[in-house]
Amino acid sequence: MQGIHDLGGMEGFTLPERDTGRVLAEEWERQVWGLLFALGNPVLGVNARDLERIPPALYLTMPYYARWLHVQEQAALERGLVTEAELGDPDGPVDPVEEAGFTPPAPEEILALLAADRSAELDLDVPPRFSAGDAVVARNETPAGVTRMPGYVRGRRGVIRTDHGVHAFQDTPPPGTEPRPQHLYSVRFRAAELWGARGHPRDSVHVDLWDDHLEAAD
Amino acid sequence: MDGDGKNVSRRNFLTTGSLAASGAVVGASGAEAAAQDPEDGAQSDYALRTRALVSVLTRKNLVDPATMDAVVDFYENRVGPHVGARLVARSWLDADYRRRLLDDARAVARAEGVTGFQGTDLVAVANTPAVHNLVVCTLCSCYPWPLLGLPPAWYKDTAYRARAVADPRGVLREFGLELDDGVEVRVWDSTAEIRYLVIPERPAGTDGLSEDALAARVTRDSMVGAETLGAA
Repeated sequence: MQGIHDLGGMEGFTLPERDTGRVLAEEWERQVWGLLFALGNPVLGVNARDLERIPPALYLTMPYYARWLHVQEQAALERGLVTEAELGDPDGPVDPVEEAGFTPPAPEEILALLAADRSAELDLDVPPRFSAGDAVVARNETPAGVTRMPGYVRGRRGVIRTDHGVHAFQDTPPPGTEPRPQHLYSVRFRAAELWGARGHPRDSVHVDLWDDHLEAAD
Repeated sequence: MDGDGKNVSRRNFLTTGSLAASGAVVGASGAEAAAQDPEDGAQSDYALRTRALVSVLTRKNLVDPATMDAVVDFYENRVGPHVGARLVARSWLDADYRRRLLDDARAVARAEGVTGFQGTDLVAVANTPAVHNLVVCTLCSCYPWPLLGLPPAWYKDTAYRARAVADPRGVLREFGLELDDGVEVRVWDSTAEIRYLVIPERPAGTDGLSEDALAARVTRDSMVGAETLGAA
């Protein structure tokens, strides 16, 4: 689906000034970020795809860390780790959660995760469909569920710049099929191809797209 | 959003000091200041909701507050633009290093142990008098955390994400950088697991400076392409 998170090319937004202060400015932002890696991501599996499911009007009015708060609240409620009543009266009694053998992730475990040398490139022998210099078209498709192809390139012509190797495909696969690891490419789109006369003739946008996003251009 | 009744109870909760007694969270002053600021009801609501969620999860022993603190310390102090700045400064001093960084930044970063969540698969692109690079993530806010730390607010803002791909020159102009019409602008939209580092041009008047002194001149925003580095 083309959700509200797919912002590239939308107009009417006012650019903020470049901020120079602490990136985690408020105490609640630090707590939300700490919680994301102390529980939300490693235990509950909360990730950026969850942000895409926030209702559009809410998404646009929420600052970045409020979105991470929202999806962690939702995940904790859905998993039954907390109840609405407990969140509404956090000074009141809480029901213990009986998770056999559960120990919250310790600092050293999470710090190792955050610093891990873990490439997304897969050591799999999958033939590439394209090579550098090939002319391609981004498929005119909007899959149900998640896609990492931004809407602004759909149906547009580009050129393969480099092959990043084999990566897990992150889009929701078509019904009845499994996600298939495949080559990921840097694809160069001329600004004029994407934005018409408003695109500067010298400029380009480079987007990382998978084999299944692309077809050969004539 | 919650009903008034719940918010009232959370406000009471916040002022009773029970959270400190639970040992859930340190450094309450920021959240309390936000909660008491009548100008900023949304911030106050986020602060209350956060403290409620963290308190309940902590009292159920589902979260270790020490892990939360360690995560914040990691992203506020251990990683940050000083890491990327070191690579940039070295690339200004060592042509072979620069070539290797541009050819295979992931290998260089691995050799220097600056890999990590959101940044192992690194690509470096160099600004020159003829080419200006600008990095964005239109779909979320992907950013090379191990090299630059967490992104600034402007990078995550809906306006930057919407406009950087369609009007990079206008965005840069509003950021204070007017590019010559003859310069080519290359925008990099981080749509997969690849993370991008811009190597800014070395500022004039920095001949003879040490790697440390050069690194101190490299700004965070220049490594995203949002600014260039002025003369000394």
